[in-house]
Amino acid sequence: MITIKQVSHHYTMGKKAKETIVPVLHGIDLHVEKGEIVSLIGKSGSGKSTLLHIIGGFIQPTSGQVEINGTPITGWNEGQLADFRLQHIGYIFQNFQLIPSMTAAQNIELPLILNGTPKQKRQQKVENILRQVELEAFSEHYPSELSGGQQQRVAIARALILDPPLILADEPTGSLDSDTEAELLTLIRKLNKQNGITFLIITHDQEVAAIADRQLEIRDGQMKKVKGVMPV
Amino acid sequence: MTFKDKWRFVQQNMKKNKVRVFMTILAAAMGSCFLIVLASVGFGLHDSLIKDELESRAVTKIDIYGTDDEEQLGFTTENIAELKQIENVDAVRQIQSLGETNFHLDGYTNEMPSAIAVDFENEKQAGIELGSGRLPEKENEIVVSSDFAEFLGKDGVEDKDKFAEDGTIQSEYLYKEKVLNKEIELEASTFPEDGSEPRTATEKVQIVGIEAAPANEYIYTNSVKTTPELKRTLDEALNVTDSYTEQGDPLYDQVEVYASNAEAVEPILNSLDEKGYLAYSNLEELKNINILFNVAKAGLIIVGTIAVLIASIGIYNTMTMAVTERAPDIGIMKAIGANPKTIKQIFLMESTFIGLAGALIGTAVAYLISFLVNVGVPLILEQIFEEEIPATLQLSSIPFLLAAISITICLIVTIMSGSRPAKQATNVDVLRALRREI
Ligand SMILES: Nc1ncnc2c1ncn2[C@@H]1O[C@H](COP(=O)(O)OP(=O)(O)O)[C@@H](O)[C@H]1O
Ligand SMILES: [Mg+2]
Repeated sequence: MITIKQVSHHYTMGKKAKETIVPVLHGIDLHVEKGEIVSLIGKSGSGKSTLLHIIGGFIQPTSGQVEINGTPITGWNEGQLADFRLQHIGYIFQNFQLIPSMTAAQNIELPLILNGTPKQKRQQKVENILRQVELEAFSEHYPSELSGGQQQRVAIARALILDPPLILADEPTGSLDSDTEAELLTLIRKLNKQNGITFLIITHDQEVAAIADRQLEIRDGQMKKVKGVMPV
Repeated sequence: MTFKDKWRFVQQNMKKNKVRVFMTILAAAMGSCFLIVLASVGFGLHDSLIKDELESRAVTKIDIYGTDDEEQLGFTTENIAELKQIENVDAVRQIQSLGETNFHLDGYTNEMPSAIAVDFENEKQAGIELGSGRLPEKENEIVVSSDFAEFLGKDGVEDKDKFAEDGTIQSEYLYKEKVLNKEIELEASTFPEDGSEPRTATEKVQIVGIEAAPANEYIYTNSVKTTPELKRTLDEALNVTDSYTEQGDPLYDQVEVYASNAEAVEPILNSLDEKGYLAYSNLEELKNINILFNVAKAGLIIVGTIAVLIASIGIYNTMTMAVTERAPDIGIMKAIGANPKTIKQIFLMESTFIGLAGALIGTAVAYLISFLVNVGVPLILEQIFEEEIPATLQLSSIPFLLAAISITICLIVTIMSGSRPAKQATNVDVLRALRREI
């Protein structure tokens, strides 16, 4: 599902001529199989989010190749990446990133609108997914009227609505209490088992890491195996 | 993303900022309204001063004032026949001047109207219009211009008493009765070049018709038209011979050729030139005036466009603020997979809507103002100057073309002013927007 070869990345900061270089990743190799749940741990500032952003196509790596679902995406322009992301990747953020002026249902509907699904089909799909994440009663609530766990479930529903084969999650439980976290993990497990969706989850939480088939760690800008089988 | 969904987004966005959108539409409306009303004065004056003339016979008329042959003093009947042969010539008017004439009626005199002898068959073809009466059929019959009676002043009154400041005859010294069907005395004079005594001849003639008033109300006409037979009688009585050839055929002082339409004027002028006639058409002059008016209209449109440009600053501002305000939403949409093109289109749609709404409202209001100006300003002017303003004078006119030009300008300007903010929206950095750094 994900194949990363020799990906390195550094950020350039400051003005021209006086710029400082912040090296983050050094020659990362990673392979995630279809249907796997892989967790990624590492100290704060170790470059976990940077790697996920590279996989999601939000930033271009300084060097190296990224292949998703058999498609190499390195060197694409923003428009191509956006279209690819819409169809193939669901992205879940630590702070949910819901549009505050839209209801839960409208937020979930957004990807369907973007890919031009007809209105009737949209309604049906939104209803189905709301049932899956157990939020039928809250469809007309605005994000500010929902708890953290509910908001994160809305975000997951939005990530799932176009049936992407891959979901990237950046500390999805970071803003949740432990009960809500447990519910969320159950949901992820269910989606993985029933729909065969691949998950790559960043976390520093052992509970989350525990549901993963494999655990990886980034240390000093490099990939270390923690548990499970290291990819070829 | 379908057009309908994009439009729904635009509506939602505008709803969130009703007041700001309203004010921006208002500014655009004021700009386009100003543009139209300003230019409409150019269109209105052009219409009322020129259009009538362009559509009247005045443009199809060609005056022939001479020939290449300097020996020849007038136009012969052969000349007239030749002119009638030219393609697209509808009518040829042949005119003989009666020289100096005075008309006496019951102790009132019209001094020196322009008196001419014409062929009334040709006059009919050339489109003479009568206000009352009929055309002359017998030798001693005449038609007079509509203002003929206005120049009939009482005899034996000193000029300084008789005439008002503007040259018209004081009403107390005017002939009061109707002149139609009156018998009037025509007194023709000749002042021989050899210095011998001036001679006069008189004839009793009957006014059988009065010409229709000219369309242009400012023009006073004092003229008399009579028959060639009367001209010959008078010439014989005065012993004048220079209006005839040696064979005794009439010589005409002036000839007018009427083209069948305005387009035919140019070729007729060319063939007249080839045949050695000196001709003049006021079509050329009208064309020049036309060009002048069109330049003036273009100038007014350009000045008006400045107002639209000022309004566009408002649109630019509104859209830039909208982009800044919605940057987090834009970031989320892009993170999900919204194509930058889609986002650009949504913002362009919004600014285009504002521009279009402004242009349409501005146009509607401009029509209203134009109507009020046309009704109100003449009333005010009449109050101030105590003079009647002619009904044909139109101060403001908005042809469809002007409305279309204004809406186009307004749309182009708004799309241009909205394009930079729209570009900014597509350039919103996803990760920075998600971190709420924008
Ligand atoms: N946009 C950026 N510009 C400059 N430096 C950055 C930027 N984003 C992250 N960094 C730096 O890169 C390093 C890795 O950051 P990140 O990938 O967010 O780490 P993690 O998610 O593991 O906490 C950190 O030192 C951080 O300061
Ligand atoms: Mg991080």
